[in-house]
Amino acid sequence: MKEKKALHRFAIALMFLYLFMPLIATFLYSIATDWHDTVLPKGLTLSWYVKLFQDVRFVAALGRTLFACSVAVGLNIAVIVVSLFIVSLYLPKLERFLQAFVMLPYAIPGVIGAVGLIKVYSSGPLAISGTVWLLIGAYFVVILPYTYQGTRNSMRTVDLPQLVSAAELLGASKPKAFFKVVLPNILPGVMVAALLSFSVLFGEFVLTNLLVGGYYETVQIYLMRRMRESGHLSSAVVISYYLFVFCLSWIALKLGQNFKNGNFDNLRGKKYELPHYR
Amino acid sequence: MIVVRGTWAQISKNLWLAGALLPLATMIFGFELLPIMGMLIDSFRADDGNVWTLGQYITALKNPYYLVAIKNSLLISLLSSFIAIVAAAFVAYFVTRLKPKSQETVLTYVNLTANFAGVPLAFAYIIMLGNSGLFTILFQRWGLDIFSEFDLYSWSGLVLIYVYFQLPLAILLLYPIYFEIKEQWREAAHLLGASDMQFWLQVGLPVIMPGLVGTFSILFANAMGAYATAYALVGSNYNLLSVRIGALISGDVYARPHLASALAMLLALSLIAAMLTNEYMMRQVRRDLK
Amino acid sequence: MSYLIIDKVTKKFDGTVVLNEISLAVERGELVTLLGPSGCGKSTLLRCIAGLNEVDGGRILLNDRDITYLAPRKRGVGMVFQSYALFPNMTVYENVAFGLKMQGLKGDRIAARVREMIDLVGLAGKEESYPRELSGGQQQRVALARSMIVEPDVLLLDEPFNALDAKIRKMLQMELKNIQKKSGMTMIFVTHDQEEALTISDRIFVINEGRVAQSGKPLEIYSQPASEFVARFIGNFNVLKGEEFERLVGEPLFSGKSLAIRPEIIKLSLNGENGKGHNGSWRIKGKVVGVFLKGNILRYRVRSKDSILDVDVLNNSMDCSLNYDTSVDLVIPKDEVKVLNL
Ligand SMILES: Nc1ncnc2c1ncn2[C@@H]1O[C@H](COP(=O)(O)OP(=O)(O)OP(=O)(O)O)[C@@H](O)[C@H]1O
Ligand SMILES: [Mg+2]
Repeated sequence: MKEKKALHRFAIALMFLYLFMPLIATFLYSIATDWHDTVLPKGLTLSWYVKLFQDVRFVAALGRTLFACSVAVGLNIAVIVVSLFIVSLYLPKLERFLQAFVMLPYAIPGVIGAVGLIKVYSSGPLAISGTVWLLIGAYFVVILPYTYQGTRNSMRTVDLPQLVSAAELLGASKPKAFFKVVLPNILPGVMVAALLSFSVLFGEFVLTNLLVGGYYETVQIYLMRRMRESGHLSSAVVISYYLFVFCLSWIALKLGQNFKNGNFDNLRGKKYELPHYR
Repeated sequence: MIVVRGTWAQISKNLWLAGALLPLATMIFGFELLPIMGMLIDSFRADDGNVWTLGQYITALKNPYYLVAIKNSLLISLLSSFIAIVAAAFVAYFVTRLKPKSQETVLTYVNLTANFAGVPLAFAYIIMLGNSGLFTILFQRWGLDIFSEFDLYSWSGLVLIYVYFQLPLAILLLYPIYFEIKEQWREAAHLLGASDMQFWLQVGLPVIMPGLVGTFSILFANAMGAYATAYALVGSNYNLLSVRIGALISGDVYARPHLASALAMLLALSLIAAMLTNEYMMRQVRRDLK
Repeated sequence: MSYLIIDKVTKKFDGTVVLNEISLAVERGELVTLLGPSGCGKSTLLRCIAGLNEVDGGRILLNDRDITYLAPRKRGVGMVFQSYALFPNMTVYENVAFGLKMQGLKGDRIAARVREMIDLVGLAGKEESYPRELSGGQQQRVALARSMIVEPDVLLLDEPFNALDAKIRKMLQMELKNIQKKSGMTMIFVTHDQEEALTISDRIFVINEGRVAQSGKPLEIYSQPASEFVARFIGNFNVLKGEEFERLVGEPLFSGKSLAIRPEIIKLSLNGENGKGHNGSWRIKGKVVGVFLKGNILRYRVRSKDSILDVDVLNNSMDCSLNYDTSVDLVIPKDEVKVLNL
């Protein structure tokens, strides 16, 4: 019995070694002055990070990423919240139908999506290929499953129809009920979904590269282009990126716990279910 | 009068509802359905886009170049999924034997690494095992010849890196499945004379088999659709289906969007096939689930 | 020497003692019951006998073998769980055949035995069903058949009928008793339902806090409780302090002791009726302060000089039940008043 416990621990430790080795190596590389033929780096420095954030090109890429992600997430959340509000209040029968379309992007790898998007938008009346607008449209669809599930779950938890009826009985109009009662109640859950979506998009590479790669340099594209030039600088990019995503997840986790509405668990469960980095 | 007024109210309300749902419908149509339909149609068109033909599919399946790409993709997906699921089957089970608190901690960390994929991952591996990677040089200096054979930019490197991003996913997917095995089944089996091995073969594995098969098909799909990691590691040089598709639509010189559409359709078909196989297998293995 | 001997077995969980040097012996072919309140260690004892829990001290002997440290599958012990624990991926037939297969016996050679066993538990025709297609009672029959077919030296049953409704439970109790007598298998049955224990057992071990509080035939246990704990747990006895009882009957007899009086041996009569007390009994006055209908029995709660006594009378529909505050006389036969050791 005891022996087996040791075996279990050993196997789990081995797995962690395998899983964390790349992260650790990258981190050490990003704070090393020079490191190529020794067991440990020769010296430690933060200068790569300083250099990185002084690099105009990187800051511009960061700005582009933040812009595209924010617009896509903001737009998506607004549209999804309004649509789900209406559907669950007036057209509950439509929900299953809507769900099928909304969850579909889960199952479609980015490369397939890119083929269709380029076909439709590279010519004809809406030739927005190579612009950020096409990217935002694509991002919008990519995060639909996450925002939809998060929003729907929080609306379920607060029992939206009943909540609205209660507000109306107390004399509020529908729009007023929406802004004063519904929104504050579902906000935490929606926020969690938004943060999750944001971190998904932050790591998106396939669609970005294929749709706008040459014209719109995001952080991921920047990393791709520069990783063979300067290993140390690129390590700093990777670690910064990773820390950022980590912070987003952490905030989301805290939000989910604070409001104790279980949304985050649902989302996390979903996140386990299907991969999103294609 | 009242009836008419009622109808008007009805109509205006419906219009209002439809108007509010329009943005979502437009986005889904424009960026999801339209592209899929466009791709479907394109795949049946010749390169000039004017003639209906099965030519693109014939090229995709006859031309050795694309055929090899398909074969490579299937191979690496099956292989990496297999390795990952076998490793994860053990590790996930070991995790379930820990104290509940430790289980949660382990899963949190695994979840952290599940986010590490794509370009950053490829980069990390280049730092470690690339031509002048940290370990590569260390191994050379220590004279460890076994590793001198290893080439990150070849098949074995690609498998290593695919397994890396499949493993956390596999663990997270398999972990809950083990809770379907009740402790008392194991006790009952032992009291009836079964050894540990016999218990797993007769009861444990059959019980979790649907979960294993389902997880395998998700991993397979994940690997088939993977693009970023391979692309970042070997560019368009390595012959994988997803990388080929990417090159066919983005390469300005030899862009062939119609062929890309046909290949993308084949990729989609393989994913659907994986899903159907999953369901079929499940029913075969566990007749009691019907 | 007895067939199964538990000798001073101790079991602790994280330092808390659950089995406290418990000792008991079971004869071959007996059906004994471990009876006790929830958490007293009944399941733990069974699991120690089966080898599913390691003991911290003491010995377990079965059929002249010391099995204390043997692996569960080598002990010749069978077990039926409260939650059935049927293998969900196997049919009824496969479940029952499992143990024989593990002995390396092949398909055709075991078919007859499996069918016979399925017949015995009354499930003929259900061979190809899966567990989830069966009712709770049927599932428990399968579990019974599955454990019995390998003919264990002793079969342990841990509250096997707890999840079933009262009617099916009664029926299965009788069936189990029959099957046990027919097969002559030694069985240890765990329950916290005294009625169940009294119905089916050859002998009962009353367990409290990890020790045997009393053992004996059902009738013995029921009519001669050895301690206040057993008296209260078994038969809704009226348990009184000696001094209390002396005040009631006005005779100094039982100082410093506890007494137990079964509710059904107390006779109840209206005041004045049947005026004289017998030599062999005490007569005391009281007032009805509660009436409870328990099917064929009416239980009156009677107060007499600050003491409360429960009295059971047959619910004879001719008799109108007595109202609250009715003054009554209680007649208590002297030789039915049990002095408790503890
Ligand atoms: N695996 C365990 N770890 C820690 N404590 C345990 C474990 N199993 C049992 N116990 C403790 O041992 C005591 C006896 O438990 P046991 O299950 O034997 O009671 P029981 O008599 O079967 O009760 P019940 O009638 O409720 O089934 C309980 O206090 C229980 O909390
Ligand atoms: Mg118990």
